[in-house]
Amino acid sequence: MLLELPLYNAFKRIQLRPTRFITTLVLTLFVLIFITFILWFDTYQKYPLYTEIFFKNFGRNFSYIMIILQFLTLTLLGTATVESRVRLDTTSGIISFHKLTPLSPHNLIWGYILGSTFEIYISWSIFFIFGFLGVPLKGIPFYKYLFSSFLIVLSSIFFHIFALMNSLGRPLIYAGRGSILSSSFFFVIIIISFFHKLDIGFLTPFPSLFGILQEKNRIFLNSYYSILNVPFFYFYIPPFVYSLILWISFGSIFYFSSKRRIIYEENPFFSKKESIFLLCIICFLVIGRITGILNLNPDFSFVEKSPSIETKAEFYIFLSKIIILFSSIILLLMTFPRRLDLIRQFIRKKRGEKIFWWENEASSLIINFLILIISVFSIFIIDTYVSLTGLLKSCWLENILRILIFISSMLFFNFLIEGCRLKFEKGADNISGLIIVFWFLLIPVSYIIYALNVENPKLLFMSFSPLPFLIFTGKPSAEIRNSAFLCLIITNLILFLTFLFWKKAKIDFGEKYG
Amino acid sequence: MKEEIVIEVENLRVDFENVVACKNVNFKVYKGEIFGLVGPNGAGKTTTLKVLSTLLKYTWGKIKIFGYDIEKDFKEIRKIVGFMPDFPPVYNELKVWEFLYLYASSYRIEKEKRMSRIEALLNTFNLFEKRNSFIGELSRGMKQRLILAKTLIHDPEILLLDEPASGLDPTGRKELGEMLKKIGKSGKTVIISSHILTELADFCTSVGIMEKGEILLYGKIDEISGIPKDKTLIRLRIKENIDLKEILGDYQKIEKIEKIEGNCWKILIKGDENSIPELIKFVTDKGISIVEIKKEKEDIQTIYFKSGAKYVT
Ligand SMILES: Nc1ncnc2c1ncn2[C@@H]1O[C@H](COP(=O)(O)OP(=O)(O)OP(=O)(O)O)[C@@H](O)[C@H]1O
Ligand SMILES: [Mg+2]
Repeated sequence: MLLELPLYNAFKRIQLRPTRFITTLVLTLFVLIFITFILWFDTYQKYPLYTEIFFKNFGRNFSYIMIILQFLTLTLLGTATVESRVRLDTTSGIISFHKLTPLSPHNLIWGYILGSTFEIYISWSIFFIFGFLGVPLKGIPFYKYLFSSFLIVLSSIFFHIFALMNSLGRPLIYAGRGSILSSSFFFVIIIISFFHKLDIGFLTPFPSLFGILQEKNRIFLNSYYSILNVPFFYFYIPPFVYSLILWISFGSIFYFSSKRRIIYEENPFFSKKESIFLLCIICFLVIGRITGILNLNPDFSFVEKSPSIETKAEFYIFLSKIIILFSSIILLLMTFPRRLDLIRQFIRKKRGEKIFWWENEASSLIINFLILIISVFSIFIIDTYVSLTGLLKSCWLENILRILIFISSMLFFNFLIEGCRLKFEKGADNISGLIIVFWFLLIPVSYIIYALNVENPKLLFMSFSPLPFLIFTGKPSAEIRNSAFLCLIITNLILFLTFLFWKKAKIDFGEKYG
Repeated sequence: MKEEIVIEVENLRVDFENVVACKNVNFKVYKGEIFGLVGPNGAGKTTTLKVLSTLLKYTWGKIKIFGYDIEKDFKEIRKIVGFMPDFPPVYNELKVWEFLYLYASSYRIEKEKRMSRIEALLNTFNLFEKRNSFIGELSRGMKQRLILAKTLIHDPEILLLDEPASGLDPTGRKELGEMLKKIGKSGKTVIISSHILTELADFCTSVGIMEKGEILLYGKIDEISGIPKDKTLIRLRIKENIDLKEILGDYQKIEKIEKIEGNCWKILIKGDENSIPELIKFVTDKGISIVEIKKEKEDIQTIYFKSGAKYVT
């Protein structure tokens, strides 16, 4: 069937171009090495708080991290990719060419979902294969790992269909205006509700993964942690079954809506039939859950006594750390193609073609934006949760600093790249010089000076990273706090400068091209 | 001979959120015609073409293409229609032949025939040397030709071209005109939109004038232009500043004469173009020196004015 999807083949051909393919491979390996390195670096920290617990069970936790990375690439990045691809094609109008061919809507939908995320599958399979290393290292059993990956694939398919439906017929012009937010908003709601144990959290694979990956339990019913089972009508059902019900029922409505909407350009989001179907499903689920809770009355106090509480902090901190690491690396790397693209843009401009400034960067812009929002919210929520539940004391300040620095550095990078690009359109200024001076000289040098001053070698290491928050792992110390302030001030100063630079370049650009 | 109606649009109306893009649009297009849709920006040309290409749902109206109802049989219609939008979209990362191959397979052309079909099209559109280049590296005109090649890949019976000449240089425009004429002669029907009148004048056989979502006038150019088949319209510029109307008053072949500006006159005479030398002889015999003489074609501009449209581009 795949061989007969022309769209899939075209996208695959685009993504298998040597440069793109090699970049994907290198990036994935880079992420892997970087994360392993950071984990290893953690062991040398002075304050072995949760790191000690973490390394006591290295094999298992390693597999966990690989599973989270799989989720982040496949679901998060994949969704963003589908979203941006469809919006890009809507804007350029090429999607109407596909609509006009005698291909069936199914063909187009799967072409978009499987084809445009082909690159993502490469990264995913590397994480997937790498994660098997955790199995012999006294990690989780083989079948549990396989089943977890399978659940991640299922959830990602659901989110990809959602992204496709959400972005069909919506051009990129709205990308900055909030309608792009809907996807990330959806994610954020899910993350929040997951922590509040609302049902919508079952759209992620995490509740099922918690059930499956617990020690001493089976994939199916888990009597030890009864809170993990879902009371539904007169039964306890395993969380993954409930997740499956959600994915299949909502997924199929989204699929039918996409199928209908991919035929014509102007069409309502949900037709009457689909709305009724949607309402019915929601009613069914709500009634089922309420009856379930009333009938079975699960013992919620049980969870407080459960031994998992100790490992919770460790897990959540690593979760948030990995989300930060992953998204910052992706965000940084996303800007590389843009910079490469400058040369092509310049050639086009020389030829006298009219260029739209967002034309080629659109997809990476969208992904940047989405990931930035999602990761900031995730970190915030996870950290707040950890602090509020008293699992780790007094990390409020660090949390806020971390988030501020993260946002600042990301905005900084975006402004810098955009500004350089806009400036470059005019054929002025030396970009590479600017980047090197700002990024690889100013921040590191100030850190080296500071580190030498306070005689803390750990801060020296910090100077190699353009994202200083990465080091915020251990128990807070006065030095780290001070350095964080310093870092925040410097980053924001530079952010302000780059913003001015970007603004000026934008005005110049606007004057020239209207 | 009764001509076959290919496209029939009745009372078409298209609403967007707060604009009525088309209202009461009625026209017919016959087989082999090159139908020009003229109108200023925002007239609703693109909207009409999108509806005809089955991409856009309309509010009401009745549209038949080859007897197929556009609402019910849109799948059949998509097979016989080739649509080229106003801004040619491409995949910059694909090579020229790969782009055509994508649509060749999308249109389910048999595998063995795909490459030969692509090569033929590349040759027709002078893109054969560029077949292995990335589309991102092509010039605008080349992209335009590539899209035209793509539009023709499944050999459609009807071509809907939205401003195909924009971005083409004069030679390119001329070639496009020649190509369209050839396509028209081979029995295919073409609808082409433009806001530049002269662009269409050379190759259109019929025309529809659109403004503010309405078709003001449509039909075959020689039928609505006011130049009957057995008459010829001539533009004449003379050296002397005299009243030509008086002097030619006794020439019996004159149908109508009127001054355009300065020493320039528009004359409608009986007979076909063979009667022009006779007129020249008559004028020079009167001692008037001719500076310029030109046979006016079916004048799309006059039609445009006649239709009552206010805005001209
Ligand atoms: N997707 C849309 N949503 C809302 N209004 C639209 C949409 N598309 C077109 N319109 C409106 O419909 C009207 C007709 O637009 P259309 O694009 O058909 O004009 P046109 O004749 O093709 O103009 P041009 O010569 O500029 O291409 C315009 O007023 C336009 O603003
Ligand atoms: Mg238009």
